[in-house]
Amino acid sequence: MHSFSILEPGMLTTVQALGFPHHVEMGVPEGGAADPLSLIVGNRVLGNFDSAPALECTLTGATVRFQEVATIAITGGETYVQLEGASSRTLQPWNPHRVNAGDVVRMGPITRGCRTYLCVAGGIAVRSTLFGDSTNLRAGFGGFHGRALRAGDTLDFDPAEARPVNRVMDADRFSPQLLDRRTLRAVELPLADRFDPDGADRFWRTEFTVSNQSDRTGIRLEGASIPTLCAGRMISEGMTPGAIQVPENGQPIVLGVDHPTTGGYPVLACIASVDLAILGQLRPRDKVRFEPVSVSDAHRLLRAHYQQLGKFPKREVPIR
Amino acid sequence: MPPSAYEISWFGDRCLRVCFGEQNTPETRVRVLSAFRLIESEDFEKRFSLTPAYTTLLVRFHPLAVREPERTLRTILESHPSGACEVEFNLIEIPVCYDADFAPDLESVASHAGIAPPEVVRRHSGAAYQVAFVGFTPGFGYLTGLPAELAAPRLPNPRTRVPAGSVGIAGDQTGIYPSATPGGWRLIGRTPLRLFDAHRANPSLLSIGDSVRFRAIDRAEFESIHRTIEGSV
Repeated sequence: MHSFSILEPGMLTTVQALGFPHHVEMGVPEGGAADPLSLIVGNRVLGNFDSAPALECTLTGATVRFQEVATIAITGGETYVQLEGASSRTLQPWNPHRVNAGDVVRMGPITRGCRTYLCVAGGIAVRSTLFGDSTNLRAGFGGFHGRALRAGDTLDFDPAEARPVNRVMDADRFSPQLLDRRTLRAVELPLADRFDPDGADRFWRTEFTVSNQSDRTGIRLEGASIPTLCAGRMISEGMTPGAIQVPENGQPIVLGVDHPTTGGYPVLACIASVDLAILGQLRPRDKVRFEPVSVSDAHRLLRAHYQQLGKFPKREVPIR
Repeated sequence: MPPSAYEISWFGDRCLRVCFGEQNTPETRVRVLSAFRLIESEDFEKRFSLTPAYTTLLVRFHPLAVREPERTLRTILESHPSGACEVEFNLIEIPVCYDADFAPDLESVASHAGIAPPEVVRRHSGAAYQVAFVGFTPGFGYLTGLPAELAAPRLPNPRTRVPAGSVGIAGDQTGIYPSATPGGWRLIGRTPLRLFDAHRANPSLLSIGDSVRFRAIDRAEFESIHRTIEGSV
């Protein structure tokens, strides 16, 4: 096993893999990387499985020291990354880089987007649970001892787990779609007796501001107040990442990957699967709007997205 | 189950919401439970992930991996026309210590009910409950069956930290906090059991459909069970 240690964890750094939505009936949300697209691309660049665990840094980067040689890739939110060692240099994001034993990788503040991923060839070794490999902060399990990383923590990885990647990839092509697009497509739910058409119309016309009260459980929006017709009469029901709830104060909340699995606020729309990764890159004060799409259009967009992603060779998980 | 007993609608582009009734009644909850069990047992390839609630079942899947999800779901739901899928009920006994240290709101619940605190304990631990579903947070069971007179409003000012295992009442619901969180329920006791442990074979102590009873224990038994559980980790 090789390892690296945390010198400075930054504001909030956790170990996250791909979300694992298979035991929601126990009250456990899918969790995982808030921006799964950046994690997948970082892993493919390194020859990892898509689901390999990596570091997820929030708003500020981490500083880590590698005890052994490693290959790494930095994806997601934009930050300045410096390699300090025998030959110091700046590391280009979305590309694989070789680091030597003793090298320090220093990430600066995240200047665009909200979360940056530090992926390691081989993936970070974790103790798996029924719920995958990701950290669930609320219940305190998964990832690295179920908690955010602290200075002095040492994480293991096995470079032999990665497969060599021969092709040079223009992986940074994903950056603009994650960091520049601020109109999210969403599928409207039947309004039924929960919203009136004027309220829904106001939602689609408003440019909202992301509140600083946002985190992995949800993104709170500030802007026009959206009236609901069913205050206090809702019966709790199942939720999903991307569901746009409207509580009594009329300020929508877009549920994140660590959302409460059930909720009692009416849902106006759900973010289309193709745009879910962008949610993980929304940062406080960002402006965001929503655009309605039909279910079939959302599926068409998702298919096109997978075709684009398919140009990056994927390692198939062996059937056990 | 007759087709008229539920409605299916899209909830975004990768979930279907199955609604079994507009009212949270025992009949609706039984329909949710039997549909949940039916899909769990018939969905061999585990394409569907399920979030049951009082009146609805949210069914999540990969939209490009499941063809015609709505039809597939209807086929499963209608494969047992009577709705009589075999339903087993586990009985879970939860020891609860109602000592004053663990029950800062026992007095207020008692005065709201117009009975003495020991009578609240007697009735709370004497009732039979059922887990309507597990949701919100890992291992949190929504229990039905609280005696009507024990219903009490939420605290006007929620606590910033409620210890794990706290047993509370909010409205006509009673439940147990699986982990330490902020919370506005009125606390009347605490269990030494762990409601959720990701590393156990069965991470969630409570599952949808389980029958639950609370057994009143004294402080000594609480400490003894607590030590056993902590020692086994």
